[in-house]
Amino acid sequence: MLQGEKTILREMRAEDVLRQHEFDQDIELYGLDSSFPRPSSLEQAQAAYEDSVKNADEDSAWFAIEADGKYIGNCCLMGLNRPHGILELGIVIGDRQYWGSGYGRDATKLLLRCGFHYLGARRIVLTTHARNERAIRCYRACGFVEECRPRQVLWIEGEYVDLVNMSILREEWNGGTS
Amino acid sequence: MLKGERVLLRPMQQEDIARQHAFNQDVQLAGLECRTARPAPLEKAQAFYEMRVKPADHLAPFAIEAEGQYIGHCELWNVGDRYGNLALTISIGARACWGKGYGREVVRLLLGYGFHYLGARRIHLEVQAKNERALRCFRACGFVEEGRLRKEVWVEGEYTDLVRMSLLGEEWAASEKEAAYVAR
Repeated sequence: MLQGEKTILREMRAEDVLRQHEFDQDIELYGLDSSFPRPSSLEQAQAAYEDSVKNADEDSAWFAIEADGKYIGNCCLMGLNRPHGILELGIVIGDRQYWGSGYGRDATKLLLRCGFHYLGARRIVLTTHARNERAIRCYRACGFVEECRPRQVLWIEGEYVDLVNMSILREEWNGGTS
Repeated sequence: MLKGERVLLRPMQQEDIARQHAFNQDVQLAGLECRTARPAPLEKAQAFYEMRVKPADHLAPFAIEAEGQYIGHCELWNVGDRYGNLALTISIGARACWGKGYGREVVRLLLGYGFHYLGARRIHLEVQAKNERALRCFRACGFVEEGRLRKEVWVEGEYTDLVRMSLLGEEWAASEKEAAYVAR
């Protein structure tokens, strides 16, 4: 649906569930994603898929991220029905082979284009945490500004960690030209 | 249940509904609290009361009493959170009671309750950037500004920043020690 230089953002498909379930076995991903590490069954991956399909027209837009013809992760914009044009962005690349090579940036830029150009957002926000430096670098490179660090909110691998709130305003967005 | 020098934090009572209903009509108050300004029927105040007197695991709701009257409400949220991360909210609807330091007294009582009695690790809150009276109050009570979500809320004619603040248990304990030392 959205074609970048390295990635395609497309609809989620039932056959993505198996690969997503594999990603769900990577305990470090939970920490990076600010979620609780727990055993995650295939049924849960299926339920998450069904939920993403069902809620797609309601308040959020879920995309599968595809690279080299493979499902490598997913991303979303949430808050489509909320007033005042604030959308929240989320992205996970579960396939470690695609870390550190600009796939996240490519997908994030596509999401910004989707939010600002197609959906008319005024402000796009996201939350990550202070130890996820790769994500913070990616978001900065895409134009996000750090605006707040709620202190010691999350427990991640042995310690309390600060959250990082970032946002990009419509007038700061470069239109996807870089 | 919690008694300060001039304020009392107690459960909400049925008699408080009428005054809360009157506060609900104050359109400026809605802006100060980042609520959507709209007409609020009496049933809303009644539902508010019923929600507060029902047992809830995650919420500690108080009515604020001063000068012998109900003047507003305050609450701690996420009580029992596994990571001790609680949120604080406060609303003094009675304009005659603004600027008299009641808010500070209430917040200090809530902090003592949260950190001492509930074992909170951190207590946080959000306030819109134009609500300077509230910002002064929270700063005076030791809250640290963590950042500002830019143009997050619409308040009387413009998009306004939302300020996030927090207080950690060790910061609170240090300020309590200092207060005790000064008192001696």
